[in-house]
Amino acid sequence: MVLLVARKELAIVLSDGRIRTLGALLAVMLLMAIGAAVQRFGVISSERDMAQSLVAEQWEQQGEKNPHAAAHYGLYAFRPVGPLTFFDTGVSSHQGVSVWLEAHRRNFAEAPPAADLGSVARFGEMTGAFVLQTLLPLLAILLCYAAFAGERENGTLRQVLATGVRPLQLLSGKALGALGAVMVLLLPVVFLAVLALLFSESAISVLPRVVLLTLAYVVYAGVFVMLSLGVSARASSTQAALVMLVGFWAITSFVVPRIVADAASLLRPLPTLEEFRQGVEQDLQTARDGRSVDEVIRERRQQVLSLYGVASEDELPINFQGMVLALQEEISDVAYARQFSQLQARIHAQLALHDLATLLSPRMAVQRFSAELSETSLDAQQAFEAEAEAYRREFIALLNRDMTFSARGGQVDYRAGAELWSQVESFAYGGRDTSRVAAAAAPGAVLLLLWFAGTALFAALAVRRTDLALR
Amino acid sequence: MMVARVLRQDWVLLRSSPGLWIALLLLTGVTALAAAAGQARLGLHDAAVQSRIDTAEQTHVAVIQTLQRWEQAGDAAAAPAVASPGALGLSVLETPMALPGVPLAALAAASGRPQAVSVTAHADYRMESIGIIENAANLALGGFDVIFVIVFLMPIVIIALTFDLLSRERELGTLPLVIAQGVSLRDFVLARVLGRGVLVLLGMATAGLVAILAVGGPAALWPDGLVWLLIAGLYGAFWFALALFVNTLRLGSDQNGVILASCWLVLVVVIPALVSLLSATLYPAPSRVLLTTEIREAAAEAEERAADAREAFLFDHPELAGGAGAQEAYFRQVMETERDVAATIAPLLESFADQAHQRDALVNRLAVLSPALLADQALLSIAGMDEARARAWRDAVGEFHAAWSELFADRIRREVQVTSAEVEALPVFGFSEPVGRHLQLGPGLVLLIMSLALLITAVARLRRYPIT
Repeated sequence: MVLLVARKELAIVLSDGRIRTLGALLAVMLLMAIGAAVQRFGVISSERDMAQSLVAEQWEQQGEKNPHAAAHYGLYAFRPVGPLTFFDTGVSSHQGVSVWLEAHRRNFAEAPPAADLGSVARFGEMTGAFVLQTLLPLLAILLCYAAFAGERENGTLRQVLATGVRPLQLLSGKALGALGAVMVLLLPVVFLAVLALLFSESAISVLPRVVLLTLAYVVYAGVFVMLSLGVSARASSTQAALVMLVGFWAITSFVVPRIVADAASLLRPLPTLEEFRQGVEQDLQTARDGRSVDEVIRERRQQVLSLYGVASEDELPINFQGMVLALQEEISDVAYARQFSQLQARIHAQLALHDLATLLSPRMAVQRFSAELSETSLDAQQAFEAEAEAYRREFIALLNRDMTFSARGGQVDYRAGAELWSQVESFAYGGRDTSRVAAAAAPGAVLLLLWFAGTALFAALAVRRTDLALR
Repeated sequence: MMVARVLRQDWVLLRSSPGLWIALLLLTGVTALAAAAGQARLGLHDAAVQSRIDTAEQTHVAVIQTLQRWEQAGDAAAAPAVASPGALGLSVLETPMALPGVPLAALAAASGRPQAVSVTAHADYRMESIGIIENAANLALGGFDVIFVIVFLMPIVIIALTFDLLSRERELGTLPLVIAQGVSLRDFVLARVLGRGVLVLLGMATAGLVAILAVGGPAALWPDGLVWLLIAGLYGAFWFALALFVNTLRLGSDQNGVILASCWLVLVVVIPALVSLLSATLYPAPSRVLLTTEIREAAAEAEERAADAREAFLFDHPELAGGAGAQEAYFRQVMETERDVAATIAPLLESFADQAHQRDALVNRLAVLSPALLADQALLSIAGMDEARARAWRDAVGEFHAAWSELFADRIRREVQVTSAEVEALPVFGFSEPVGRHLQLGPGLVLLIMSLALLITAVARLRRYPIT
């Protein structure tokens, strides 16, 4: 019976001109967005790979110089882009794409792409995810707003129920029919996207994610299908159902996310750049048990001189300046780690508000899941920056060790060359491991499923009312 | 006369409709909330910049005092570190500055990008941005301000109030009864539109007026406030005219609703996003990644040229080498290296500016495709948050930076110490506002023409509208 209803619903909705128009609009926009994404992925991916190799080449060819001069020259870590980056840019447009890795300090990532997009970009980036997140709900609403209310107004609902079909069966059939229509419109585009992905070797590895994303967006459409069916069952008229649903869609998709973003930044503000810098300075001043860096260095000098039984740095078999630099590095590492972790904690406090608001906006739930799988979430950026920072510490430590053990005591004109530079391996970001991605994506998935379960329950309760055909 | 009667009758009906009052209350409440949020957002940014300005001013005063004490002591050999133009210009003094706010800036606080930098004697590509640290997750969700309420939300309320303006009467069969009272269909429809229009626009105008007074005071009312309200009013009028036009298509109420919701989607969401995509595709910004590698390449070459000077001591650690002469040579080398790099990357930076300008011009041209984009660009300009003003400010900062850094460069090159009088006489940044912020004649006129065209077409169609 359920399948019968579903087949009938599918046939009806697919013959509706409005649905076909919106479906075609959705498909064209998706194709445009995915086409642009494929092109941008090709260009930007090769550009970043090239930049990373160029930086490595510049590093190797920097000539002879003091290792600490090389440490200040530094290296750059460029964030590689994944095949799904341009399907869903997530928060990546507002995140820096490169980090300057140098001695003494951990820098913020630089050059967020949004800075070059102009003011009109705030209307939204035309990505595949944007099209699906904004248009799929509208399609679902159009498919279902009249499902019960329309039949009730026409008087056909009473006849259908008189055939013995139970309201829950009717609901299931209508939901399946609507979801079937969504799939009919969506699957060709997914198929084309997969075809586009197959042209890129590195992209094949993301196919499981494409499957999960497709499922997530079907569930997202399902949320609006169930909600629309429930509202249609309870509303006094098709018009009332339509007004309520479109209002809900506009408010939860466009208004709630913006209010949440503002509330988060105002209620739990992040530090200013000045405060952050002052925090680092303060931590540097009282680096070790409240003692200044100079005191710590003086103490270390005494220890080293007495260990080697000499009176001055010049008599040491090692270069004390190299040790000082390593010590300064240890101190600044602690200071930056502390300030960055405090900053992360405050960012996570803001994200907790986002999570809370996800209960008010299904779009925010699917956004979160989609960005995690597309590697464009905050967590993905933090993983990249953490790996870049670990790499920075490692190569600076290598340079300081070389200075300590290769230069004579007190020597200030020590130079290292290509042999040392070649010991620094080129930065290659490994990406997040699957368990981390799964952990980061899980809340979004759970919230989305909660939305689906909630709206399905609402629809089930709505159709079980005894006055379903009479209101 | 007839219009007044219909208006009175419609008012009686509207008065008893809770939906209308909820929608109006929501719209005005949200406007007030958005204005307050914008004010708070700007407050955070301004406080961050002001704190940096205060610190810079304290440093400035302390430097002058230190130099004066040294000058009074008359001991040339005991020059303080800040007498070195290199140390002073490259490490100590800075001029933090922000794009000055205009009276209505808070109404567009989330739409524009705050501009604030700190100018030092370092080359312009090393100019540091200042302000608050932003959470990318918040930026990605977009901001909430009065422009957003007007451009995104006001049309939804208008659509909700007007999608069944005429169709519902026809569906209920009441239209022939109304016409039988001697009211022409045109008067009936116009009166209903007028009643709802006055209610919504008055509500929005009142909320807007309160918001304008709250964020900018009475001075903000003329001309900024008035032009703002006019543009918002014309934008609202467009949506009323569109709803009226759709009502004359002789479709059912729910079909009208679907068409109007689709119009909202296309005009407010899809076209602006497409314009953004198109402008970014036709005039893409040059690659920042390429800029990074070019800076690095240029720096490496410049440093190689100055290798002899640099290798005398450790890079960035002149104190390790000892000797004031070596330190001055170091500063000179830093400055020259940066100038070489700046000269090398200047064409690339110019192409960033050119492309941004072209993108902006294209967006302005294509704005006629969407009243939402048109209203948004106009309101953004009135609030002083538009790209053109930001560009004018950046140009002024560039000129100031050139003058400021040249003063230090000259002394660094000649290794001449700095005096307290010279520090006192350092240039002060000034920005002359570009004219025409409130001259939004073009967008206003286009919105008016669009609204009138829809209205006239709708009225013409009413003549052939079936009463039954």
